[in-house]
Amino acid sequence: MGQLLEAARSGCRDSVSEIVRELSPMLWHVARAQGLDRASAADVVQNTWLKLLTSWSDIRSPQALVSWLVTVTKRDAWRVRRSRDREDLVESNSFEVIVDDLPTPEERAVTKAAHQQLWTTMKRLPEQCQRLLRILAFTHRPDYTAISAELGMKRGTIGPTRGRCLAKLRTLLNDEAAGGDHDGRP
Amino acid sequence: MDGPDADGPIDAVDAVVLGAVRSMWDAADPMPDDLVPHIEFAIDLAAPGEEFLRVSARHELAGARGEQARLITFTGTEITVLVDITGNADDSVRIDGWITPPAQVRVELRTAARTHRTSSDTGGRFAFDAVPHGLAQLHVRAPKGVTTPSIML
Repeated sequence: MGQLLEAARSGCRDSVSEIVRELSPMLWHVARAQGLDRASAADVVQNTWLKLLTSWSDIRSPQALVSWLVTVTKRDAWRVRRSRDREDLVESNSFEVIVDDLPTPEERAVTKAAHQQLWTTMKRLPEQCQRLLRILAFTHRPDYTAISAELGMKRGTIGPTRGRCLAKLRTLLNDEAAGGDHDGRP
Repeated sequence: MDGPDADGPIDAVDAVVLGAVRSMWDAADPMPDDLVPHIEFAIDLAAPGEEFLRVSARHELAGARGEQARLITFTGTEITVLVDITGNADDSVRIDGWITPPAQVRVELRTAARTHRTSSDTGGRFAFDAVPHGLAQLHVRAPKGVTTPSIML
């Protein structure tokens, strides 16, 4: 990532594209975890990358890049969410407003047995842990420290250490493996 | 039962667990396939020094005759652009736009194939009568050039 970043900073389009491909999934989940619908989340992620175009010179390391991207996306998503809650939809006589996004409930999408089990287990975690682990799952290990502050966790809570949330999840999984059917999963 | 402690280093089991979390969320809420292409399209056409507008609102409307329209509002520091995207009978797309504050300026619609050009009137209104479906980006030559993120027509 370090070399990729250097190449992108000096204007190599292919390197920029690769970074976009690599890190967009993480930003997607940051935006969605803030409660945005799919279209708004896509807009926020695109907006973050466009903002980056004028901010390359401020970013000196892969950790700084991840930190910057997560911060911008999270703040932007929060702002969009807040403005949407207050928006009055204008209704006119000749048109009817269709909700522009009718997402399939997430429960319906999780069909595989393995996913369903983990899904149920994760729902037992505090909301903040669910959100944090969702984003961590899309982040590379060296970047955990960089984003822990942006995600609202106490510095040092996540870093080279696993942190409270991941420890909790591991404990729940252990408990279920011990108490439920023995299938060899941790 | 005691599990692994929070202060311990991340180990291989943690990596497997996080991998399962990632796989689960990929299944439950995948990033749209077209998002990265949209972003690459916008970046490719970006000229240095241009301000990018942001999408501030989206609405879909159904007309009385069953036609569909999409309204998108783009907001910048000095300018707002509202566009109304509707389908024509011949499968092309019509774009009606309004620039606020009103200004008579050059407006371009950039697509992969070519750039369409028009001007707004003194009220800030402009139109592209028939453009093809696909990724596009609007560029307005207001006091300084501003560009929208890419949108799918």
